[in-house]
Amino acid sequence: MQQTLINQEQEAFFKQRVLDYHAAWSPGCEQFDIAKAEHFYSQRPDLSAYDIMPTKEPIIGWENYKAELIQIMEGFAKFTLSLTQDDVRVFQYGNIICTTSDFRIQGTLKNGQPIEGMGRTSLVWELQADGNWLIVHEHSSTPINR
Amino acid sequence: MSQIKKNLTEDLTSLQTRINQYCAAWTTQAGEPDWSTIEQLYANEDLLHYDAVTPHSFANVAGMKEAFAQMKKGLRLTSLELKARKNLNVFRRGDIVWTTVLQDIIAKTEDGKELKFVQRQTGIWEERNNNWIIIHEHLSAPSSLQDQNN
Repeated sequence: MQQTLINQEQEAFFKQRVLDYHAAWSPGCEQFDIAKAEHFYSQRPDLSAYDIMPTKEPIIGWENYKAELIQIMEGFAKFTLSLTQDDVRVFQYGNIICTTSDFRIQGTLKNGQPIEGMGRTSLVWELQADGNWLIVHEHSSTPINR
Repeated sequence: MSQIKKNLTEDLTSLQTRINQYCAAWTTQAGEPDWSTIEQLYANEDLLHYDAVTPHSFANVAGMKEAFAQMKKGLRLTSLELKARKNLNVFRRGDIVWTTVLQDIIAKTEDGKELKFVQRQTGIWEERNNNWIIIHEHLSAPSSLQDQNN
């Protein structure tokens, strides 16, 4: 089995879903609300994730990841992610979809320190029994400038 | 109900072996990885792989070779060592698996410097001809978000 060619309609659906996901993670100057993001994720204990900040071990299970994400976002006074549909790629392998996206991060920590950088996210999406696609693996990171 | 199966014994065994082969192939004392093994580890089609360092992504092994040559020259690299830790997780959905594992990296340079860091690897793998092949990879190290004033 090799990569399944995804049709235009499916590709457009996932590109929009990834843009919506990033919008949920981009509160700007408003207070971050996890409720806007959590419906993208499987709430099951087999969710796995590496988040964008420097944790080493992967986080397993939604409840653990949710706590980590809330803590990270509480550190920001401003947090914005910028990307377009052209920055999103969609691959289908068997019963899963993998999306990748490149984006710009701009923000300010609550201590006033500005941050800026390039980010990437790989997402594995699984089709649920109710027809909804949810994230079952996430890896978000920023590359080291060498 | 999710159909994901986590850490099946046979998956842990076969993927740990494959990831050890991966680390051995990227490890070099002579300045060059084992490209013939690396070519067999990745799907032979244009996909997308994120590296931990810039340039941050590749479509195929040819792109990795080009970037490695530049990195070797830029850092004046003499050796590279990768070693996978024993914290492998394997998640299976049908014929596709995704893995998470940490890898310790030691890079040595001509001027005697030793760079050490921990790499986080996500691999998405597919079994082809009884071998696990990487169809997507995301490598990262601790965040490099930069202070705008730096």
